[in-house]
Amino acid sequence: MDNHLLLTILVLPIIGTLILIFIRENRVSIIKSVAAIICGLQLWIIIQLLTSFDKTVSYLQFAEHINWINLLNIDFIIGINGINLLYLALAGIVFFTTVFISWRIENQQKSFFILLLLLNGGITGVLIAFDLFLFLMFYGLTLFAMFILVTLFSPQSANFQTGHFGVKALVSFCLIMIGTLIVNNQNPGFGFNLVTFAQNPGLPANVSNAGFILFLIGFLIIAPVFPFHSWLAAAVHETITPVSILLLALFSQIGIFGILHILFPLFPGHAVQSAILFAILGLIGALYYAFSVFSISNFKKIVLYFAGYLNAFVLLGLSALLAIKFQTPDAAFTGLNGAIILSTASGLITLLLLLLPKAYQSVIKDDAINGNRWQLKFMILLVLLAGLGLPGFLIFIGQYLCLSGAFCQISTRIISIFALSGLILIGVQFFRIIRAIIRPDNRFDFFVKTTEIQNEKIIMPMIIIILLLLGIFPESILKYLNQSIDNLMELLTILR
Amino acid sequence: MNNFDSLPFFIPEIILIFNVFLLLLFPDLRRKNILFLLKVFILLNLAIACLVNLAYMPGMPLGLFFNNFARDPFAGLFSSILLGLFLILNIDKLRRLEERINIDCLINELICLTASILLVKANSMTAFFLCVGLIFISYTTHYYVFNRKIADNYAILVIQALIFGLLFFVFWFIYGLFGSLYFNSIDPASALLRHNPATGCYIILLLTLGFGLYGIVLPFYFLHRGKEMLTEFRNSTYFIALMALFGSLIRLSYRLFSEQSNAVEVSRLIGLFSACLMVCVMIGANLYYLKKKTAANLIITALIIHYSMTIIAIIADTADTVSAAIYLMLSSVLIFAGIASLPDNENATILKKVLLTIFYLGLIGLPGTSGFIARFLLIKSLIDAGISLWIITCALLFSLPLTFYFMREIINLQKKRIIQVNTRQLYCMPTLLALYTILSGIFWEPLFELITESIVFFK
Repeated sequence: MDNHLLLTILVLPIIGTLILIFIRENRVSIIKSVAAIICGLQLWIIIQLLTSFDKTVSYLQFAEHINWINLLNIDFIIGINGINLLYLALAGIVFFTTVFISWRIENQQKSFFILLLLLNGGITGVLIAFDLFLFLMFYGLTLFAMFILVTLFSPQSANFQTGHFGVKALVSFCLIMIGTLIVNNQNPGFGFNLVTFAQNPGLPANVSNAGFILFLIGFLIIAPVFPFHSWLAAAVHETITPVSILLLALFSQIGIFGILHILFPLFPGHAVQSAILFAILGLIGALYYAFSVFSISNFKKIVLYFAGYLNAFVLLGLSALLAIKFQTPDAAFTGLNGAIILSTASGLITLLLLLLPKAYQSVIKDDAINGNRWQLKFMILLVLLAGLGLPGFLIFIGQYLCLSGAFCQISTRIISIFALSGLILIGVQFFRIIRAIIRPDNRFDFFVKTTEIQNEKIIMPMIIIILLLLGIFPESILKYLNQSIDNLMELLTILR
Repeated sequence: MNNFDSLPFFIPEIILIFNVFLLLLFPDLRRKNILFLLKVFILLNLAIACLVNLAYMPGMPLGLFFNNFARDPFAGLFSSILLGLFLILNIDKLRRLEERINIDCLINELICLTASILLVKANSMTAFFLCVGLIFISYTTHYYVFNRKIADNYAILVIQALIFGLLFFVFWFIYGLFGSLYFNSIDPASALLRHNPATGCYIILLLTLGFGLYGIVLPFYFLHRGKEMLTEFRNSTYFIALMALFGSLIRLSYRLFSEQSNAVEVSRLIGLFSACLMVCVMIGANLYYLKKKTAANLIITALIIHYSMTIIAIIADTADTVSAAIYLMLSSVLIFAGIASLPDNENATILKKVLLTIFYLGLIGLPGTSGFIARFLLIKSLIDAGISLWIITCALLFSLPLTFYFMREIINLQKKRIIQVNTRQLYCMPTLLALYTILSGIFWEPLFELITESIVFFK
């Protein structure tokens, strides 16, 4: 049974999609139930994976290796290590909660849930694929499902914005495809096997330069990191909240995951050499997003720029790789740990923040009818403070590790200090929001359609508890990462 | 081989001509039983012709009719593809043979098919022009019968005359260089071209212009006129002739720019030139397309872009690039054929929506469809062949607007209201083609291997 757990979570959403296609459009409750069962089963299997994952070994676990296309040496290789498992857990939580959040979605329910499951299949495939061709296939599927979701659930007037997102996604796909092919071209005997390429990265300088740039831009577009961020505001703001959640909490994390999962193992030398580039991109991104958050009153826009800020912070964590160059790999190890934890935590916190407008509306409504609802207000307060990096929450651990990794070198230390100044602006804005919630005024626009978000009162506390528990006991999450990051560090140190 | 020895290898063509006579002799059949028998007989004949072609695929290549035609795996495979394509596009006409217009149409298209099969086998310039002439006559006749607009007819005639003239010039130019009318005698091409790569570029320019006029300029013309090309595509003459010309270009270019050790540098220069040329065509197609965004225009632009990509691959001239080019062209043409064979009414039935979505996804190149694997193989082979990475990136990026607008089209399609119409029979062939689009995206290896085997003997 254990051996096929990964295959099962990959196949489940695809089966679910096929089932939904054959259910009539007016049977909405059956459609929603099927989607919930599929995502629930998937989450249950992910929990099984988490409990039976051996944290003491560094090799791929639950792996399946099937010869697929002999002509091009393409293999069907899926498996997980600590890094993949964390992102898989994030995906499981986000998909499961999105089904319940969008329980009373108004129009085109069938299309929504079909695309949700298709996206689920695509993202799951991306997260567990260890063959570049397989990765590319699932990546294409993910981009396609995401684009259709965004376009279908945005108003007609937002055609330009959604189109912008589509074009950026396609450019990212093309760059990664060409990158994959030029890597394969150098060693056709390796096929597309990521593990083999990672262990033998002897690519000629010009090829690895081109490959690194292509993969890097491809993933940065999706992340979305400044200056490739323009689709973020365009697509996220226009679409409905459940789709925004998928975009911000999950889709944008795929870019960071791609950098860790593909870019670093394939081009270890370039990764270390260009660590300073990550720091600079992180600094510019952090300041840009912080100023954007500070100057905007629309809450949804604040959240999307805040998500961008967190991703910029993740880049600061990745810039700790510079320490390898100066023979202090421990700092790089800490930075990588921080980047992964912050990336997954930012997915969860973005989900919470996007649910917040509905909770705020409930507060306003309840204030008028029943008097003061302090429980809900306290929960909103907690979400905002957790986002800011309140000690005790997972975001704090991620930010702390990222900074302590980056602080080990003088150049990245200075950059990080400047980047941290952005946090002050964000803090000011978040405290203004807190004030607006405690003493309601019209300063901020919390508008959201009531049908767009459902069950937020159940989902929000659950995710807050997860963030709090993991923040108090970070060792439980670090244990999963230790061996995988050790492995990655070995590649980066020896093969660079 | 001499005339009599060669005859058995032309059985498929003889069968096709026999069918033409059959349709000419019995144009006014009204009795249902005999009509049914005739339909079955024609279908049987087509199947036999296809099987005979496939049977001729293996074995040593042979020169027929004093080397004017060739019998080889490549010709066998391409002839079978053409016959299959004919069947797909004409099954509806065969079904409704009681209508006189369908008989006239079929006669014309059978002649075009015969000429196209001969063109794929043509191994000399004389044979080439005989076949091209016959194809153009049948295409023009077809167009004159079914299109009453004088301006269009005149334009079609002018374009065809241009193609004929250009190809005539380039072929005589090649004859002047190599001193032979036979394609398989152009062996020392690389040595000659090495002295002056500009000569190769000049030949490429003329060849791509000549062949491209049919694959690119003709659709451009329709695009410019704002005509609904879908109805135009419904007759098989365009697609079959396009595929035949494409096959002939492969046969010729393999001889002209053969991959020999001393010619690699020349091939690279020529490849670069042709790739730049085709990227320009793609930019042009995008600019034209942006003027008017209808589904029909999208399909024509897709055809132009795919054709441009395949020409880059053919000139890159390795076994892999040519195989990938054939695979992409086959995949595209079958998708176009699928779209064209859908009932041409405004009603959006569920089946029509599903089939159109699959075809569009195939044209986009969604993973899991034949379109994705075709593009992937093509780009992979181009990188392996050493074509400049920037050119490949540009070619791929210029195909993006099209992909994007196809995605939009899919979304618009989902928003259309569904009307229940009972026309199941009409969806038989498109359904098969949609299945092909999906299955060949997953199990593509056997077909690709067959294509590779069919061209390996060239080297």
